[in-house]
Amino acid sequence: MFELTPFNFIIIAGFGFCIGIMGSVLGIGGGAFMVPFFVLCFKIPIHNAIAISLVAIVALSSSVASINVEKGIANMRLGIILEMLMVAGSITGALILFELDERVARAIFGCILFPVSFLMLLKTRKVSAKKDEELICPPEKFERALSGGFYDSSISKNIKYSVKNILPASLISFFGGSLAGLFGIGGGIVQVPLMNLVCGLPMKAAAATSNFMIGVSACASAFIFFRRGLVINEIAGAIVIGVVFGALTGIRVLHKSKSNKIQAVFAILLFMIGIKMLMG
Amino acid sequence: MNKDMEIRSWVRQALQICVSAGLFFLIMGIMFKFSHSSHADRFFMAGIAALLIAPVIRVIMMIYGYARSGEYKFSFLSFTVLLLLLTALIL
Repeated sequence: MFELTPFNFIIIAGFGFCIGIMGSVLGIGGGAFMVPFFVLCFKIPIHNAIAISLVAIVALSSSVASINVEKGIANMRLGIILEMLMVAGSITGALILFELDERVARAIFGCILFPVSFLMLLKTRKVSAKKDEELICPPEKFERALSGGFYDSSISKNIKYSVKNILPASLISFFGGSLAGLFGIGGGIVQVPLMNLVCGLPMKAAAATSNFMIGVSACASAFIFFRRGLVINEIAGAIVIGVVFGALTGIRVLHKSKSNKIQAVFAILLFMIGIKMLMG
Repeated sequence: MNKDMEIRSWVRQALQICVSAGLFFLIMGIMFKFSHSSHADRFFMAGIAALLIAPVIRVIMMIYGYARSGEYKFSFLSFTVLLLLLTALIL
């Protein structure tokens, strides 16, 4: 049985702080890191690890979204459309999980990390290839219902954009939600590339909108885990404290930085965690 | 202040209140835990509940905000998300 000591608290909260910083910049919940961390470092059963991870993702999303919504970076209208199917997928995923054996869940999660890490590396290269100015859509497209705009402080410019391919994006969003429920990840790993590459949102708007959405889908799954008593309160408390402070630090410190290099490191780390999860 | 800004302001306030309350209870829970108090678990539960309710409150704010500004389509979509969240709560 896990006992929360001051030393463990510092380790967990410190890890949560790092997750908070990365999550706030990249638009992901960090579940892909938190679940293996709890399973591998603290020998916590995967179902409990997923439950704790989901609570932390809700905390991260709510902290970051409150700032991004105020700044207008998160596209709330697009967020509502995508999160509707994402939540449905999230509930489906959480219910399927209870029918799965722990080893099977671990193996599936490990296998999923490989294509995800490849996807993130690919995205890093695509973002590097395009200059931010190229992502700005022509003004005539601005009047669409889901169009948005925000001030990007890293290039000191107002970015305006329109949204495309909403129907295929909604269907892929359902898949992202299922992943969130199944494996305790936020689903941002699917949502950010989806909004950036399929819907045509600038990277920062995609990350902010993803952060806005993942809290709701994680919340839907977290309710199911919470009711079944799978959340280990003291560990959830420790990681949430770290995550919230990390998110608040990250959004201020790293908002102006380029995320493609961090993302490359992130992808390599994901790959390594995938190998570790498969090895048990 | 235009209506979009108003909705954004409500969403921000709702999220900030819930996160602050959740964080307060969890920090109290950790303090009680290290002082070996039996009340620690209650604070943890309250903190987690405050955090989990944040997205629900946020969706309710959006239903009201979009309905008030006449954007019924987005209000209805937000309402559907709320129904899904409530379904998850019952399951």
